[in-house]
Formats: sequence, C-alpha cells, structure tokens
Amino acid sequence: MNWSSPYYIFGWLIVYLIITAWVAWKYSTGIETEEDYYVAGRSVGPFANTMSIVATIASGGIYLGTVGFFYDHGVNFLGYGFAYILMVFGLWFVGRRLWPVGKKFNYSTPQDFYGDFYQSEFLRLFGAVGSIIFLIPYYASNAVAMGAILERFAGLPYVWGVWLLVVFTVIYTTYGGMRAVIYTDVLQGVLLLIFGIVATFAILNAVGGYTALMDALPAKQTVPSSNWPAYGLFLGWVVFMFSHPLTLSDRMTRMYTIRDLGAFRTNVLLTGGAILMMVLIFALLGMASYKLVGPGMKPNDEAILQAVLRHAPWLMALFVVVVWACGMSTMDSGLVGADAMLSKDIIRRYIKPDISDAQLIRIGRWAMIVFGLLAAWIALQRPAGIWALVRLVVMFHMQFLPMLILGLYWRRASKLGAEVGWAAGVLIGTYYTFWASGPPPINVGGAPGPGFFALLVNLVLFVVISYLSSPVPAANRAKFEEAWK
Amino acid sequence: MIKDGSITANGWLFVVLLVLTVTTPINPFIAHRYLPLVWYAGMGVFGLWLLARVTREEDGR
Repeated sequence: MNWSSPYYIFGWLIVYLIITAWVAWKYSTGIETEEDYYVAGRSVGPFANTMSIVATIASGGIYLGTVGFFYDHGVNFLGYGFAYILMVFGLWFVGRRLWPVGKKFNYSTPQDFYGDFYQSEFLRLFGAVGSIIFLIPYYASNAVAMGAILERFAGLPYVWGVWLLVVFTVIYTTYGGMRAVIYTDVLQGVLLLIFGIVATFAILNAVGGYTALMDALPAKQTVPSSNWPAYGLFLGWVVFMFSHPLTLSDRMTRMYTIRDLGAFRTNVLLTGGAILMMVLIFALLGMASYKLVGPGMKPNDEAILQAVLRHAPWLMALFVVVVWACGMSTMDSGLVGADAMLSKDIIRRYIKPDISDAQLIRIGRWAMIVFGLLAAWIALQRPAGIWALVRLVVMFHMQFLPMLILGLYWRRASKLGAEVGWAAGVLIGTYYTFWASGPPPINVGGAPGPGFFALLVNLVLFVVISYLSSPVPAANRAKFEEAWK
Repeated sequence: MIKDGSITANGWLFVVLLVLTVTTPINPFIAHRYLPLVWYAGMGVFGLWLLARVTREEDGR
C-alpha cells in the first residue's frame, strides 16, 4: 500500500475534521453570557483542562521544530523539558490565587487581573493591545506550517491549506467560543499523545532500542555539555518555556476555566505527567532521527519527517493529522484570547461600558473573523521572518511574569514597578530581537536570548522601583486577599 | 512551601529540585550516555511527587 498517497493522507485529514466539527458542535451548548463564551462558564473538569493546556502548548511546529531541536542538540536541549517540570509548580501557585479572584470579579483575560490589581490602565490597555498584535502573527505561523505540510503531503496548493485551516478554525471557534476550544483540544491532545507513543515505539524499534540508540550516537548528543553556550541554552530554555504557559494571554485563561480548586489540583498533576511524557517522546524521536537520517539535515524539522517516511511510513497520515491538530489547537485558543481582550479590555472598558453580554459576544464573533482573515493574509505572504515574530510573542508575554508572580505573593509590589519593569522589558526584548547588531550583554543564546535578558532587567526594575515607591494600596489588596482566604 | 515565615519540608525539597535542575549540565553523576534521559525522567517523577505533596499542603490554606 502507498502510505504516502496524497489521497490517503487527505482522506485521514477529512475524517479528523469531521470529528472535530462534531465535537465542537456537541459541546458548544448553553452559551448565554460572556463568562460562558470566554472562560467556558468556569465549569471545565480536570482532564479536559489538562488536555487543553497540553494541546495549546503544542503548536503546529512542535512535532517538527521541537523534535528538530533535539535532533540538533540532543540532551543539551533538555532545558526545554526541565522548564515544564518547574512550570507546573508555577501553574499551581499562580492558579490557586488567580482562580478565586477570577471567579469573584468575573475575570476572563490576564489584563482583567493586571489592570485591577495594580489599578493601572496602562497595563490593561497596552497589555491587551500588545497581546493582540503579537498573537495574530503567532497563529498566522501555524497557518504557514499547515499550508506547507498539506502542500507537501496531500498535494494541495499552499493557499488551500492556509484557507482550510483558517476558515475551519474560525467557524467552530466563533460558534462555540472557549467551550469549542477546550473540547476540541481534548481530541487534539489525546491524538498527539497517542501518536507520540506509537511513533516512539516504532522509531525506537527501527534503531534497535534505547541502549543501541545511545551507543550509536556521538557523545555531543548523549552527554550534557557544561560549556557556556550549552549551559546558556539550557538555562535560557528553562526560563523561556517556564513562562509561556503562565503568561501567554490565551493560555493563562485555563486558570479561569477550571471548575474549582480541587479540580485544579488534579489538573496540574495531570498536566505535569502529560508534559513529562511529551518531552520524553520529543527527545527520543529527535535523537533517533539523528541516528536514522544522519547529521546535518536542514531545516532540522526535516529529520523527523524523513525518519517516519523511511522507517514508519504507515504513520505518515496520522503524523500529518497530528501536526494539523496541533496547529488548530493553538490557533483556536489564540482567536478566543485575542477576542476576549478586544471585547472586554478595550470595548467594554473604554468604548461602551454598558454593552450587554449578548452584544459583546456578537462583536467578539465578528472580531474573530477579522483576526482570522488577518492571520490568513499574513500566512498567504509566506513571510520569511515569521519565526522571529513567534519568538517575539513569547518574549513579549514573558515580561508579564514578574508582575504576575510578585503581584500575587509580594506585598511590596507596586504599580510603578510593574509598569516601568514591563515597558522596559518589552522595549529591550524587541530591540534585541529585531534591531541590535550584537547579542544582549547577558546572552544565553538562541531564541530565548533577547527575552531572557529583557526579563532580568524587568525583574530588577520591578523590585527596585517597588521598594522606592508606594505598594498597591492596602484597601485594594485587601479585596484580593479576601478572595484568597 | 513557606509557613509562618519558615521554609517547610516541601520547600526544602523544592530547593533540592531547583538545584538539581540547574546543575544538570554539570552533574558528573549523569555523564554517561544512558543516563541523562533517565535522569530527566526521574526528575520529572520526583517533581510530580513533590507537586502532589505541595498541592496537598497548600490545599485549603
């Protein structure tokens, strides 16, 4: 049988899309309020919330790019995995304080918290505008990846692949809001884990097992290097990946969607387990690809594709479906996140405060269509610099980390410290991503480099200025502490 | 992990997790080709076990 036949692969994709549409339709019921639409009525159980976190973290490029990084760097890329071991602690400590205030004050965006807690319209407005601006190219990058993969494996023109992703995702997300996002994420998350387990066994079998693989690889792949570039890479990825599930505007909302704190406890444990498994899958697939296809494959995401094509071709159709599912799960979440910030943080706050929930949802649906069209327009240009924009989105959101964690746990945290630290971090990170002729003064290297340095400056400014200025007023803080009891 | 201004046992275990994490690239005990991935998996399980303890400790406080 020709496992790589475009018709066969496209057929699998159609089956997947039909099931996704059915799931979105089935679970998108009872949407009456803004809370239903943007945070799924705060009623999601731990398994669904876990799969939603996992699937949303897994963007369209994760089975290609992340596995490609392990192909390039071997165990020196494990900083990526250690980040997630630590991240679930962050998820718990942030979520257990964010969830009660979200429920008490009806929050559905990160800026709801930053703006109210620090009493800062600057953070609310610029945080929302910046997040929307950076999220659109981020999900456009998923459309680029999906267009390219369908072009290659299903024989569809690139333009069709982009439109298929954007139109399909916009339709079900517009229809069901966060409910549609979360319950399709369950399907997508389960698919990505099942594929990963099967692929790992198949590819490991092809190389003769774990010990045979490790024996065959060069030492630079299997033993951590302690020189600075390797250690910088390790440290940079720990911080980079630790921050993004906690701070990316669309992902952070999963700390609002869970039904209660007991369920959240189960949620963080399941998330830790699922991500641990996911990282081991990526590491083994990347390193086994090195053994199977040899070094020097450019771009590095070609390695896993070649490994599967040559040694487990029967998995190719599922591989394309999983890459597609990962792209959709990231894009749908980004659409709802950007829409919530536009509707709540900008329209309801500054333009029409008395807007009803029904009107807000209607405007939000139109906004999602516009955001989808913008993403499609960017993707259709096939811009060469799209991946720099992806790094930028994580760099931008990393800068919320000090104000988030220290706001929740440090009584001296001040509005001025949060505003100055955040603004300085965003400006410095953007400068070193796009315009600087050299690396930042403290350089961990690679994609995390600019954001890491910017975060250090941000943190120092936040702490120093908070010591020198007045903290969040006691009366305001008391409102939050009441919810945390 | 901090109670009445003092670090609890779970807090100290978290410090251990943190130190073992950041010293992974220079840890001489895993400088064998079979061990780094096993070490990562072990640290992941240790992290999950500790997270279960921490969330139980923090639950309801």
